[in-house]
Amino acid sequence: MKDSVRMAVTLMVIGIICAGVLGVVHGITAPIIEERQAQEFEAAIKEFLPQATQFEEEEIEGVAFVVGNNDAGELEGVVATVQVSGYNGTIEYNLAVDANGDILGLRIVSHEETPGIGDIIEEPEFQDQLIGKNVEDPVEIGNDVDTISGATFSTRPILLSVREVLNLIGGNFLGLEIEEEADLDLSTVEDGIYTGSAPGFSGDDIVVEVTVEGGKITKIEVIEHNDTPDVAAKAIAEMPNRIIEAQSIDVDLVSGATYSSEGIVNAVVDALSN
Amino acid sequence: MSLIKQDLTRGIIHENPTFRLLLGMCPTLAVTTLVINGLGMGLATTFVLICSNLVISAVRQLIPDRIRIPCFIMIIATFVTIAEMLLRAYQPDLYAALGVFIPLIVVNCIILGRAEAFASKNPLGRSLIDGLGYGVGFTLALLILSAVRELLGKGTLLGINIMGSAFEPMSIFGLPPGAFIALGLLLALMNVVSRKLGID
Amino acid sequence: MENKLIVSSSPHTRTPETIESIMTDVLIALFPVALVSVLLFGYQALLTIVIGTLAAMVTEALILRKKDIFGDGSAAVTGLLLALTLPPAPPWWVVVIGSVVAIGIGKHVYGGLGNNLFNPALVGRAVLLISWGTNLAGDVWALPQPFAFTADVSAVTAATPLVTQDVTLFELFLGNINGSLGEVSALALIIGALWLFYKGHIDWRIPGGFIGAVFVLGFLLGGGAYENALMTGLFHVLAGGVLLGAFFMATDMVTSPVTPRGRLIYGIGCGVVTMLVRLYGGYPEGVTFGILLMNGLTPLIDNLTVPRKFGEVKK
Repeated sequence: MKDSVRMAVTLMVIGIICAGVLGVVHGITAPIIEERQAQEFEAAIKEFLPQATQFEEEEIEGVAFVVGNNDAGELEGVVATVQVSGYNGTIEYNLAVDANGDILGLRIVSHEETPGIGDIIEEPEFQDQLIGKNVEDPVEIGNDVDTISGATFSTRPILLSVREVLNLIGGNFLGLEIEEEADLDLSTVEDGIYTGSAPGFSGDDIVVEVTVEGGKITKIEVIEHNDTPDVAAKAIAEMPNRIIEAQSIDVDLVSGATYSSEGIVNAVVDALSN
Repeated sequence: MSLIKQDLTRGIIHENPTFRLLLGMCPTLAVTTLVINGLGMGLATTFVLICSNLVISAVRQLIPDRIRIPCFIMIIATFVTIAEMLLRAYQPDLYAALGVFIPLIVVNCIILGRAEAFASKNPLGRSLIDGLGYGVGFTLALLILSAVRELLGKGTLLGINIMGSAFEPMSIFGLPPGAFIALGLLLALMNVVSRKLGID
Repeated sequence: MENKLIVSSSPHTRTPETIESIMTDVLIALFPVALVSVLLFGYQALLTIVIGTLAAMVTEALILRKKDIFGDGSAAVTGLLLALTLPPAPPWWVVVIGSVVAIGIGKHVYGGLGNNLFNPALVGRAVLLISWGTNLAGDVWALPQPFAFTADVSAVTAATPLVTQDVTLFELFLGNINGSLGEVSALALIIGALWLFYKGHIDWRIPGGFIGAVFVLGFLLGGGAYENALMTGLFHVLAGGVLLGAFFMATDMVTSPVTPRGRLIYGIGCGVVTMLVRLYGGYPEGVTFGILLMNGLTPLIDNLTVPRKFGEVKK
């Protein structure tokens, strides 16, 4: 009894001391680290937008933007700070786009991806494919950009989010009209059974069969997919109901099965737009 | 005097953690693709090893025997975290190269091994020397291995092209199988050398 | 060592076979294959074969510190087999490094002939494949120029038929296609294999299991450019290195199981892994990896398939 109390107390004391020491060191180093990161970010902006002299900060849909203008007040470019979940933890990166909508560069701020595998996101091998791409280019996986095989989980979220950030930049800062994904216009769809397909998580197509009766979607069936079975099952169980209930594709995706859910939505759109 | 020398050289030669004890293989195989990575990993490990040896030796009589391992791990993890924060604040370039490997130092069994086998039984001074010896031994081993791998796998040393432009790098040495092959061949070489020199 | 093969416990049977005589038979069996490759790819093929074989023999002689460069002949077989898995005109240093790795790391690191876990020639090839993939995979396969000994075959190249799938089965059988030196002609490989069967150095189980598994999986899952599944199955048997691997590499006595049942399992395993790599993997060809993987499993297979002794009761 006495022994176990002594052990618990010793462990606790050591734990408290360790935590205290870490707190002190953190207190000393945190401001330095933060300052350094701020400096690095500033340096990065300078490098991306050397002509810009005036900066404005703005936040749209959870993404922080720094807009750079030159002396004459003309737009030089936009640098976005984006956070996405990678294979392990959060990846934070900057994406710089110039006034023409061309991507100037990608800069990984921090990540916790697997050394030797996922950290390829820091390499030119991965990043170079994005440089020079325009806001109006597809920037679509398998089309004009590609994931790095062996590091799909690390590279895929970045590419997907780059597309979204480009839309934001194009629509908000460059005055471009980025086509919003049109919602379904069921009034023009005749009754019948339609099939459509769109890539799911695996990159292979998810095939759906959509039944329309009286201007309403009454049934959605996933006929074929090549995604991870357990994960896809969640999406297959939920998504059709959500779409039918809302009579719209503007529904929440099933968390934990985002890509498969997205694939189903896109496949439904594909089915009804044919 | 001879005791100090003995404590110091044990970790470097007779019980070299990499070439003799085959401890801490995970960081050894994973980080040695470039000399700079090997060196940084070695130095960071040395720092943690010396600090944890010192502290554990200092508190060795206070820790009940049955919970010594969790106590050691906590102390080691603290120093690893300190090392990480210091590197991040003052050596950001090195941190960028090594960052992801630094938390792995916690599970490097050389450190726990020395805590258990030496620091928890010996006075401060000897533990310090012992930690220094093992740290240097580990660093040297990583240096040799990473030099071989960088030279053959990339044709460079510390990023400087050594082999000339006609050399086509043997990229297997930059990959995991090459790490095993290079380590195996180096172990064989070390055995031959130590036999020739008559070391144990 | 008087080179006497000892294969079983008492009663001891002696055979006139020695390592040297077996290796000589293998060399004879490989002769038609080498001959066809020289006829098709000219002097560059001859050069590759000579460099590969010589480098292997010299490495072995240096490691063993022997003046007799032929030795027991096993190094020559390894070097020749390695050369036959290469394209017709790789850079000479690639061939040399392959041979040195095969003999040094593939064989002598383990303690020399009889102790190696993996087929040395394939170890050499795997290291080359991973290190200088661009020289050994993709569009580097020279098109053959039959009977034009001095032609520079490296000038005209194309992707291996395994990728393009645009050759007829008859071309695959004769060998007038691009590919590794030793894998192009099924006919020459079969002639060589018949000699080994005749001399009793290989039995049907390993090549049978290997080729059978490749055919069945090709038949079932192959898809591809041929009219029917039967032809696709045949294509997978004839194309690439399956025949070379099945007859000459998987059957290596040192690295394959000794029990009859084990041999069958081992052969089928080679075929299955080969097809998995071909159909779903990152490399177009999987024979190297298939055989190496099953080499690694050989001790386990042997352990699990030891025949029961007469009268032994199952525990």
